[in-house]
Amino acid sequence: MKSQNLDHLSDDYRERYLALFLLVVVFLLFALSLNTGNISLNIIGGLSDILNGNYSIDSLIIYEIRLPRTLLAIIIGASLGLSGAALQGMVRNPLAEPGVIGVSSSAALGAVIVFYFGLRTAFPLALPLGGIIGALVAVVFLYALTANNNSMLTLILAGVAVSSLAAALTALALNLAPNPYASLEIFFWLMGSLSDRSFTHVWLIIPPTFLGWWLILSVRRDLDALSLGEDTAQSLGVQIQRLNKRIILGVALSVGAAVSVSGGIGFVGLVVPHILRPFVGYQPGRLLISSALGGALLLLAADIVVRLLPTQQELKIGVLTALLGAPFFLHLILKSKREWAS
Amino acid sequence: MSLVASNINVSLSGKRILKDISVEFQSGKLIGLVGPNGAGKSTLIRVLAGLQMVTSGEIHLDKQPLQSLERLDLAKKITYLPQTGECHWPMTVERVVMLGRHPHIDNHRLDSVNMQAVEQAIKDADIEHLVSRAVNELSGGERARVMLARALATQSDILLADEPIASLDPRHQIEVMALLQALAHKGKSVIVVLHELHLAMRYCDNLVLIDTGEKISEGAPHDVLTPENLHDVYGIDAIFGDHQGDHWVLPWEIKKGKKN
Repeated sequence: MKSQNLDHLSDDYRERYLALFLLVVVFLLFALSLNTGNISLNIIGGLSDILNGNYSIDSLIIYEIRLPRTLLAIIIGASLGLSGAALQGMVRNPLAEPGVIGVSSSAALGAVIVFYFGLRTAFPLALPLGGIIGALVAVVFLYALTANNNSMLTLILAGVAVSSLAAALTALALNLAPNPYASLEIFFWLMGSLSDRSFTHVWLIIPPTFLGWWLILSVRRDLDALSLGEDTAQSLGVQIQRLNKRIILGVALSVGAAVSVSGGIGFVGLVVPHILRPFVGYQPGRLLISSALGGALLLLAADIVVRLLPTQQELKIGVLTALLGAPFFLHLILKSKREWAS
Repeated sequence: MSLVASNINVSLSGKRILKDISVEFQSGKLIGLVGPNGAGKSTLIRVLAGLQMVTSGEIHLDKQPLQSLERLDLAKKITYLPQTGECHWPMTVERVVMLGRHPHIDNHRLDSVNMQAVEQAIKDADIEHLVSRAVNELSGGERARVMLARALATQSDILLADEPIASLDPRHQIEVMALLQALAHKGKSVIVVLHELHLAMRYCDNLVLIDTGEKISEGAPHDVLTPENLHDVYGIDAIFGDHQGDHWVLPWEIKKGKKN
């Protein structure tokens, strides 16, 4: 009896230690990220200059270039990790991920439409709004397609359908773009990057992102009960409609806002929950916070790597995550091949 | 606690699944719901659990309409154990059973009172040796007992179980039926869907016999499982007998020239 009690308590402690560990690593990478770039800086001096309102080259570079980039990596990484874990819990399928199921590409389409019509200059909030609406359409569509059917095949096929449609419409926008320069700009933006972003971007995505996080985290315990299927979850007191609405809206808000600023960054929400799941006893609710921290960690690390790689042009971070994530995705599919037969 | 269903009709995509069924369940009794495949037993159980919308009719829990109750309040009073023991993640048995306390707690943490309920349920379902195993590694019967423990852990007044013993070995079938009977006789209301007519006869206080969505018969087991009813509903002949004053039944052969 005693040992069962301890075993259960260790669940709580394990979750906390894991979160603490991830937080410490994120903090270390945060410092490393501020220190990474073409010019070597005095970080402490620069930061204290910012706080004291003194202008120096160091403070300028940190404030205008490195700090926004670093903060965006943390916020966007957390959104992707959290959304991946939440979607996987909702559809009870480890392959659900904003990128794989087409939410990111739909959000990108929304943002591209904003680019295309030049709405961004007229109305700064148009960009995250476009991304959020694009993401929302995709999640709702996906949910409708996979409701009452959580087979791998349905999910992947629905994702393929949504992604293809978004890609086709994005290509159409590129095709019809008023001048080649505009289409080139969109094209590069689509690859996903955190460079050349400013604090404006940070402030722009914070409100929808935080609201999205709150919506997702508010149903975190219900996700555990949902592991036993919808009927059982309902009989345990879970309001399924409320749970689904909050996760769909939460994912759309946070991923839509993220993509509208960073472009398409895929696979973070696939890789991170998969790696962390065993450490939280496979409980989807407990996975959320760890996945958010893990996502921040991964994207921050990836953003440092692209700056350190000796490539002529800086490698786009979306390209890097896709290069690492796509084989991982393949590995997951091969591993769950048996389930495809059923 | 009383659970009363009056004139329940359920139609799904144009097909009438339940036809004007009225049943009343009082606490302190183990009630068996019997009938052939596709008779509507699972649908009736889901209706009673508040999981299935009815086309017409009403369900009352202690004179209160079921629909007027909050999901969470309902969850504390009625536990539903579905036929499929689905669990989509390879969680340990103990964590699955702990989910049974979901209606009673506000966060992930289970205090000693809640843990006691979990430990009792684990003991009652005879799965103490499985607690740290992953639920997806278990056999069908072991899994069914884990899900039963999950349902017991809620400690609600009403337990609705859909074929809880279908995949169990004879020893565990008897054990689970005896346990459900004991729970009922301690004051709970236990309603269980069964195909094992011999166990229904032996352990249930009352039976409700359903066929093609209609209630055919209701009452004490030996009044419900009569040769005539078994002919008409299942199309089988059975052997009946007595053992130390208890009735028993053994389904024996297909009734020739009768029904399908």
